[in-house]
This record gives sequence, C-alpha cells and structure tokens, in this order.
Amino acid sequence: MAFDPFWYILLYLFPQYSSTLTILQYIFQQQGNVLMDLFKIIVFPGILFVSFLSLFAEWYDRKIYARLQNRVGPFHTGYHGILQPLADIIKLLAKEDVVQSGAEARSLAAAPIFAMTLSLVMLMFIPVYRSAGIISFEGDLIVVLFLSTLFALTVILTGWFSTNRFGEVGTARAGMQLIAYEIPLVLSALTPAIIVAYYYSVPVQVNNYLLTVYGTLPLTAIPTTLSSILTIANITQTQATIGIPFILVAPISFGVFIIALMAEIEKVPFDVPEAHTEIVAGWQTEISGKKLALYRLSSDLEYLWGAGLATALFLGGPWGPGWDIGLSTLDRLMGAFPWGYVFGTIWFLVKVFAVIFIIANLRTLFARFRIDQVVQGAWKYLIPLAFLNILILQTVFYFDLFGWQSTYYALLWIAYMI
Amino acid sequence: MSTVKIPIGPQHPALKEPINVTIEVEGEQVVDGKVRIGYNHRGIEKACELRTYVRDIYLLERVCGICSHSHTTTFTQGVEELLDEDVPRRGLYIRTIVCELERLHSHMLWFGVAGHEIGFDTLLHYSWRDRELILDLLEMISGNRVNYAMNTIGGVRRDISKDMIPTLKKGMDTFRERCEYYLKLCSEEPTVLERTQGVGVLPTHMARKLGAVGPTVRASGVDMDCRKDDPCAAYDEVPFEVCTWDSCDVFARVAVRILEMIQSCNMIQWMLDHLPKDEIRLKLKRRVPEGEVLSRYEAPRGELIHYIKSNGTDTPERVKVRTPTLANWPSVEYMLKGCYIADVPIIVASIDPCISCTDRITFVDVEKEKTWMWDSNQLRRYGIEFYKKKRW
Amino acid sequence: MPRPAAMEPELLRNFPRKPFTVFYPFERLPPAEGLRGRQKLYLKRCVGCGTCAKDCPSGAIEMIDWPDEFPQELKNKAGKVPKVDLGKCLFCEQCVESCPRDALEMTQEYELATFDRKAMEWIVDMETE
Repeated sequence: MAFDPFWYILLYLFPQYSSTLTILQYIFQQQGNVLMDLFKIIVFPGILFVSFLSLFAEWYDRKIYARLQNRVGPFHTGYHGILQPLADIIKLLAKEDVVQSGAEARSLAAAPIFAMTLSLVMLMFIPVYRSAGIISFEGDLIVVLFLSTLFALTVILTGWFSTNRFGEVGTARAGMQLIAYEIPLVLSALTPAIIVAYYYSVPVQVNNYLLTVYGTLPLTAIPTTLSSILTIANITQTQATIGIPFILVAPISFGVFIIALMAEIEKVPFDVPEAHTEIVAGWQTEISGKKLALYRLSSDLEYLWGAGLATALFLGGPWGPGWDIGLSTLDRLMGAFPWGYVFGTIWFLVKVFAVIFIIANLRTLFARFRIDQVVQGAWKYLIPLAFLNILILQTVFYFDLFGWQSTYYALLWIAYMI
Repeated sequence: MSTVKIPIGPQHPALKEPINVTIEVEGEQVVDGKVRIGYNHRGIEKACELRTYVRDIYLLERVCGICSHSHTTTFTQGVEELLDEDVPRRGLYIRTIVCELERLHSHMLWFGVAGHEIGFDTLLHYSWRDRELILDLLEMISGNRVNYAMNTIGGVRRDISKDMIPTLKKGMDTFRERCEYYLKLCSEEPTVLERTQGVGVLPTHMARKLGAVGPTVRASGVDMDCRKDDPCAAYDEVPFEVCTWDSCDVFARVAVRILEMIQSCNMIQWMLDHLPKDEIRLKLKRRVPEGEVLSRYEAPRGELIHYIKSNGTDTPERVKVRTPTLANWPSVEYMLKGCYIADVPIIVASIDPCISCTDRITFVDVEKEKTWMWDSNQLRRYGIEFYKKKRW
Repeated sequence: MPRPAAMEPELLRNFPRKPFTVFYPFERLPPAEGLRGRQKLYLKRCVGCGTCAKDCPSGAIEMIDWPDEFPQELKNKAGKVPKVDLGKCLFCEQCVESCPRDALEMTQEYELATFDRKAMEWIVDMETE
C-alpha cells in the first residue's frame, strides 16, 4: 500500500467503493503516482485550492481594511460579499481588451500569462499540509526568491511595452522600488536559515529519530550543507522540532520581511508604481479586460505567496498541536486516517490569515510614500536592520549567550519524554 | 536629458473637475508646469443678466456646490447695499452661522480629499464620516444638505428655532474634538509629515506678489482675512482669531484649515448663545436703483468678490464674479517648479481648487492688443481644431 | 514629533464598532423635519394668480387649465392650477414663499427618481383642504 494520504481520505469518505479504489490505487501505483501528483498540483493544494484561497484572502483583506475604517466593505455579492473578488475577475474577463496602436500587442499579451505562471509556481513551494510543499528540493528558498524577482521583471516589462507616458513613469518607479526591496527581502528570509544552520551544527549528537518519526519529509541526514539549510521544508520542520517559531528568535527580521513584502506586492504605503491619484494606474494603465483579470489574480496569488512564506519561515507553517496525528510509521502501517494533514492545513490557514491581518492593518495605517522616500527607506533603514538581526544572531550563537544550548537541551528532553 | 510632457489632463483620477495641468518632467522631477482652465465654463455671468435679482440668487448658488452659500451671501449683501437697507440683526446672525457651518463642511471635505491625494484613504473615510454630522445639522436648519437657499434679499428665509440649538451645540462639541484629533494626528503621523512638509513651498513675498488669497496666503504667514479686514454680516461682533502658520508648505495649509475649523466651532457656539431676538428678513422692493457695488466675503477658499451693476430695473446689468481659486492658480504654477511628480496632485489640491468657480474667460491677444468674446459655437469650433492639431 | 503608527489606536477602537454605513435601499435614515421635497397644493386656497410660475428660478412651474380629475366644485375664478416639472425644479421653496395665499407646501418626499421623462411632469399633489 502506498503511504499516500489521499487514498486514505477517499477510502474514508467512500467506504462503499473500497474495492474500486483499491484497484485504481494499484493501477496508479504502477504509473508511479503520476496521477496523484497531478491531483496535488491541480486540485489540492495546487492551482484550484490556491486560487480560491487567494480570492478568499482578498475578500478577507478588503473586509479588514473596511472595518478598520468603520465601513462595511464588500457586502452584497454572496454571503457578506465573499464572492466579490470572484465577481471582479469574472467581470474583467468579460470586458473588451483595448490595445493602443503604438504598443507591442503580442508582448503585452504574453506578460500577464507569464506573471500568472510565476505566481502559481511560486505557490507550489509553500508548505500547506505538511512541512514540505508540492515542490520541495534542497535549496528551494533561493529559487523562490529568484522567481519573485522575475515577477518584478514582468511588471517592468508591462509598463514598458505599453507606450504610454504614465506607463513609463510607473515602470521606472516600479523598477526602482522592486529592485531596491529585493535585498531586505532576501536578507530577512535568510535569517531563519541561519538559525537552522546553527541548530544543526551544535556539537551535540542530535537524535536522528526524533526527526524521522514524523516521517513527512525527505530528511535523511543531518542538514549540514548550505543547500539543505536553504530549504523551506527544513526550516519549517526545524521549528516544529525545536518547538519555537522563529518569530520569537528573530522578530526584527520578521518585521523587515513584512515591510519588504509589502513593497514587493505594491501595497500602501508602497503602492507608488500604481499610485492612482498621480499617474492614473502606472504600469497597469493600458491593460484592460482579460489581461487585467490575470494581473489581478496573479497579484492576489503573490499576496498569498508572501503571507505563506512568512508563516513557513517565521511561524512554523502547518506546525501546531495535532499536526502529526496519524502520520507516524506505525499509524500508516495500520491504515489510520491521516488527521495530521487536516490539522496541518487548519494551522497553516490560521497563521496565514493572521499575517494577512497584520498586512491589512499596516495598509490602513499609512499614506503613500514618494519614490525617493521609498528608496531611501530601503537603503537607510531596512537593509541595516536586516543586517543587524543577522549580526545579533551570529553573536548569540557564537558566544552561546542566553544559554541557547541549555534551553534546547531542556526542550529536547521534554520532547523525548513526551 | 530631454523633458517629457505629461498631461494631468482634463480626465484624471486626481482631479474632481476638469482642468489641465501640463507638467514637463525630467525623470521624476518637474521642471515646469502650466495650468489651462476653461473646461468648466458655463456662461453664468451672462445668464445672470437675463434673470431678476431673486432668481439670480438661486443661479449663483449653483456656481459651486461646496461654497454655494458664500456666493449668495456676497450677492445679497451687494444688492442690499444698492438698496441701502439694513438687514435685521437676527437675520445677519443666522446668515453668519450658516456661513461658518459651510466653512466647516468645506474644510472637512478638503481634508478628506487631501488625504486621498497622498494615498491615505483611511483619513478620507474618517473625515467624511465626521462631515456627515455637519451635513445633518445643515439639513436640519435649511432643508437641504448642499445648496441651502437660506439667503434672500433682505435676510434669511428660515429661522433657527429653540429646539435646534442644543443639537447644534452638541454637534459643535463633537466636531471640535475630532478636529483637535486630526491636528494631533497630522503633526504626528510620519508618512503624512513626509508627504506634506517641505512640499509646495510658497514663500511669503511670492504669495503677496502672485496675489494668493485665503488659506493659501495665510499658510505663508500673511495675516489677510476678509472677515477681519472688511467685516460683513455679523463678523464685526463675533470674537475670533485669524489663523496663520509660518512654514509656507502644504503642511501649513493643512494646519491653517484645521485651526480655522476649530475657530468656526467656537464662533458658532458664541453666536448661538448671543442670538438677538429680532426679525429674520425685511421685505424689500424688487426694483433696484442705479448704482454699482463691489461686495467681498471670505469664502472657505479665500476672498470672493462680486461686482454688481444695476440700472433701475429688476434685472442686473452686469454681474462679475471673481472667485478665490482663480486668484490662486498663478501660485500653483510657481509651486510646481522643482517638485516631484508625486507631489503634483497634493500641490494642486492644497489651494483647494474649486474648478467650477474658476472659469470666466475673456480672450486677450497680447500681440494684436485687442480683446474679444466668443459665443459657444465659435468656442466649440476652436476647441475641435485645437485638439486636432494636438497642441499641448 | 513623529510617532509611527499614530492612527493605530483609532483604528482598533473602530474595528469592533458597527459600521457607519447606512444600507440605503434597505434601511433609510429619517429625513430632517424641514427637508425640501416635492410640493403639495391646497386646492381650496389656490386662486390661480400665477405668482409661483413667475417667481420660479428655473421656470419649472406652468399654469394649466383646471384638469377634469380635480373636483370641479373647488375650481377657482381664474380656472388654472400650477403644474410642476420635477425635472427642472430646484426645490428652492421660492414658490412656497411667493404664494399670496399659502397654498403650496413642501413635503418630505425626496425619492423622486424615475426612468420615464414624462412621469417627471407631475401635477402637484393635491389636497382638498
């Protein structure tokens, strides 16, 4: 029997079809689980799940934004307006697509598709139901951050291809902002990796089996190489193992990450590339209809990606009480239902929505910065802060301040006992 | 580097009314800015000559939606001066109370719009929520939320009854608290300070030279207020202070307007306490004797001037309206030099442009040294040819 | 003195409160007492002098012959009643002021939008008082 959880879910839900399902599973096993992977990519937690979750996250964000301003927000579409983002996308898909005569029509049409693809691929790295995403390999943290830089490139190209004065101004601003804020984003995303590196390089024998009892990820050796430290799966798993989410260890980095994230996804106070009172819509001025629908969706997906990455790196992803029920080797042999995945998803969602609440709150709180103030903010304040946190951590680790060793000895012992 | 001309054109999300501000931009810095007005011209001055004085009140009220009461106040003051009659004190007090309420609602509207221009939508929603309080009070007094039609030649048309007074006073207390909160907020919130301090600087000598009026010039430290310099209605009895600020930038204009709002709250409460028990209007004759009068009043945006020439019948011969926004446009052109693109909307908004008030045009050809007027068909043809040649 | 997140206490205070929005078509705020809505004509008092039509700033009032639907016993000497074109009416109350017999009055009806232009030309609401 394959240790694949979805068969267990299906078998639990439809016990009357158990014979058919067993046969199907055998067939799929011969295929090497390709169809199961396809299911994971398309339905859960792949394209469909993530798209609807991002639309729900947009509704949630708009409701929080409105309630903080003593207004109602979306209300009439669906129950309390929950279908409003979907209605927006559908309406945009139905509108006419107007292209200027001087613009490059084909490149302009290719850019939103590129952006959509990037967002969806970026989201496949985020751990939703277990500590590894659908795609997980060593060193994937750097790949994910690189993909977000490519997204910035898409933004720049769109404004450039539409030969509109407002588009050019918006592109120039977007380029400056997105490139400037890549650095604090990467630096603050690397801080959890440094913590993981320290954890595994301590000269004490860490009991291997503590890690593989919750056999959810391909962790077979103590991660000591650089690429295995820069893996989202390892970072998430380590937080679960230590029992401390990294936000408590590196709070400054969390702050820097959230601010740099807001600059990458162009939310107020950093929405200067699409400042609609100044340059109409910046790089989005000339796109309309289906292209705009795809852009809105990919921007929502990027929002979800940012929040998901923040929870995976700093809050521990799907880690929470009950995330490992029914997942140990013994339970799988006995064919128990993997409740751990369900609890893992629930914890992930709770944490993602907490992060989105913080970002929506910050969105309400500030006015828009000017582009020179934005760039100044990045170089003068954020990058030094990110470096500061790394310095603090390195100092603590090197000199073993605060008895870091004894703290986690104690935790290990407690975990062992339990 | 070559410059690019960007039209913050007749249609733009930053503008509530059509006007064209063409900025020449090098990268992100604005090198020069030119303002073209005239998109909102409606021929109101000519229409005034065809109607009687009483109907003109309602026409002039609709020059602008926000400063409507100012226009009627100035006009009726002028006509009462021509008729050489004294309006009863209670009428003047009620007229002044509605004037100050209008100042409150106009400044609060501006505050929200300024917040929106710098991207601070939260401020927009909160300040407009507080403005609803003033609009409800105005509806209670006059029967409508905008265009209140309170003034008539000889006084006001509706009275403030005894049971309205406690509601008004309570409203003023609440509103004053909110204004003080906004003043504190604007001096503390770092993003607002970043966007408004040092932006759109209009030094004092340039303000005087370019003829700026209203809060724009008071924010440059000049003590110029029609209510003190040339008091009309009940302003010679009501105690208040002229608010100025010294830093000459957009933040100064925000601060001046909020301080004026607090002053207005105090004034209204004083006037409600001291309302004389009198008539509210005089029945005046319809035919106005010959003469000409220049009547001034401090509208929320600055000094508003009406020039009325009468010829003994019941229709005026000429009505000329000089609105404060028209006087402030040269200052905008001066302030646009050297700022960033991102500052353009807030600079244009900081003079509180009421573009509907602005447009009275006459053609002046400097080379040939003659002036002439066009009717609407000629104007339309000129506009079509202009845009065909794309002469920005 | 710049204090970051200066608006945060205000935001958090407003978060649990009921929103300020009024869901207009489903719930309405009560209008103020003196709200200037549609006009109402007291037929017994109207003498058909036409002062309201002369004084109306926008020319919205027209004097028409006594229509057949109105009770014929109340017909005045001049045989005319005012008809208000609500599309042109400014709701300024000048007609109420000018009437020498106080036959016109403004009600509080403000929901007067229609899809039909002809429906805008209403004979003023009559009251046999």
